[in-house]
Amino acid sequence: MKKKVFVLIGCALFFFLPLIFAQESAPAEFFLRDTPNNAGEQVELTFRPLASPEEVPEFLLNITIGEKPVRVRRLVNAGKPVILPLITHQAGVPVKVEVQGVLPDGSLTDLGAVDVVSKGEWLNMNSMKAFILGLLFIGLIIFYVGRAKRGQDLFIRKIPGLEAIDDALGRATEMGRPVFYIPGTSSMADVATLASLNILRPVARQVAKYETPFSVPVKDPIVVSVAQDVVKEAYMAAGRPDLYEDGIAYLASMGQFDYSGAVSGSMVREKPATVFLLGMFYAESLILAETANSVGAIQIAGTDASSQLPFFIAACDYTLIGEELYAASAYMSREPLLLGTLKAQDILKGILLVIFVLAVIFQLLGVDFIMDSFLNPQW
Amino acid sequence: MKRTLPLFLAFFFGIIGIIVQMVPALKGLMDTMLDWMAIIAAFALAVGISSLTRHHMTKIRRKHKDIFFSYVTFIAMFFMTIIGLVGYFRPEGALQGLFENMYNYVRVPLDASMFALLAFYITSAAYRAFRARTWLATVLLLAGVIVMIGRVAFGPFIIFNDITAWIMKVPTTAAMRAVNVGIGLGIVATSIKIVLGIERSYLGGGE
Repeated sequence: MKKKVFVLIGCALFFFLPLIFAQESAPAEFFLRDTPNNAGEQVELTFRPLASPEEVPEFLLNITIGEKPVRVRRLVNAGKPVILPLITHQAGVPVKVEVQGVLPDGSLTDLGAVDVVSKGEWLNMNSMKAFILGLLFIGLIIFYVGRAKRGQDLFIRKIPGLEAIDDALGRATEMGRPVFYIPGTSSMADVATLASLNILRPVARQVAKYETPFSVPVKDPIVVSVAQDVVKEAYMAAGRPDLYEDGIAYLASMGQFDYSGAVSGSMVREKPATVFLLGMFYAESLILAETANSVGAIQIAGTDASSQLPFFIAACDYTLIGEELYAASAYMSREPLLLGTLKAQDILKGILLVIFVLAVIFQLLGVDFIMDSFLNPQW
Repeated sequence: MKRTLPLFLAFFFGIIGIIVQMVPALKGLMDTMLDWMAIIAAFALAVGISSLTRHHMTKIRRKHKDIFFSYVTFIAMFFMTIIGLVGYFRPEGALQGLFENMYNYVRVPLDASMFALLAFYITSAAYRAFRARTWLATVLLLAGVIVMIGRVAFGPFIIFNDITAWIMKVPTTAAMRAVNVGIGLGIVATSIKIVLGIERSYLGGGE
């Protein structure tokens, strides 16, 4: 008897409990959270509409950030979740969002409110993998620099564009025509400009040795003063300070096409035998390369602007593709310190290549381990 | 000192740059450093004008064969500077309008004309690149022709549109990504070399 009563109560609970606790589902679910890995300058609202657009066509978000007045934002119900960043500018700012649903007849229904206080973090975990990779890279550099210092031979493949520099300078000397060196059209903040100035030194030294006329038209005023220093030191290192003058490196113009006009004009008038186009270039790359070609100059070009590389490859005699521009300084100087970094770079590239291949294989097998562990920046 | 101080500054601000990327709470410091860059850029304008003036003055002094262009540069520079400054302080006068007209109807069209030259340069560069002298140039020629037809494909040629899409999406993207990975590593390596003081050619000397 007792057993039958328990069974009856059990059945009753099974059928009636869902009815007792059944609630009408809310038209939307939303929550507010502090955006991780920042200085507290942003929080984000995740909003997921549950009602169909026919039931609730729009939502109104009444957003209060700190002491600022309430801002109303209208959100059309597209049936998809939305993540809305809200800028607080600093940590410790309270943010409150009150949500209302707009019904088809235009009336409003309150859906509740959420709030959060923005807070800053001490560590950006999204940068942690890049940081670890950076440490690995520095470790590799130290290892290979040590090997190079001990006199071990480090194999570096031939780069035709850099091998051709001596011949190109020799040609200009024999023809008695000037050499033009264009260190890109970007500022010192661009690493490609720094890489170009690193190549300028050995080129200028060789030019000074051969007593060839030299011209370095520059677009950025800060690059002008650095280029002047580099050329001056190179002429002194070559033992020809008498040939140096400040006018070798000069500001041609600060506008993009003004610069290309000025340099193209100089090329047409002075007819250089060799033109170096090394650094960061934009749309002016082809104007400069084609003008150099039209005056019969050998062009050695190099850039890390992947959109300009095809133009250089089509128009120039030699092109340093991407990383070759950065390797040039080590390649030309053969200093152990620089060669060590070049070797470390190659090893890291090899490691990345292995990871890419493994990621492709594992992804094809449906395993996300490599992608998540190595290629996803988030920790 | 001439070399030590710049090396120390490169190391110090390089390390600060890395730390700022790691510690979001120091973002304000990064903003301040970017403000400094704007101030330095403003001073650099004076350096630039000085360099330009000296270059052309030297040409005029030496009676260079292209002296005419140096005169044109000086006349244009002083003319625009004077009417720009006077027009700024006396906006009710005619000079401000003249300055705007010179900018909008002389400088901007000249700029656009230089940009327009690209169309002709692309043609001449493509002609040289597409000469099928080697098998690699032949492949380039074929790919180029297919992409060009694919961009304007219609009727029975619409198949070229799909082939173009595949060329751009698969082999081109793969090659560009490989180049970009190399570029990324090159940038990191050069930055580390500069921060650690291994690379110092940009300071004028390797020693």
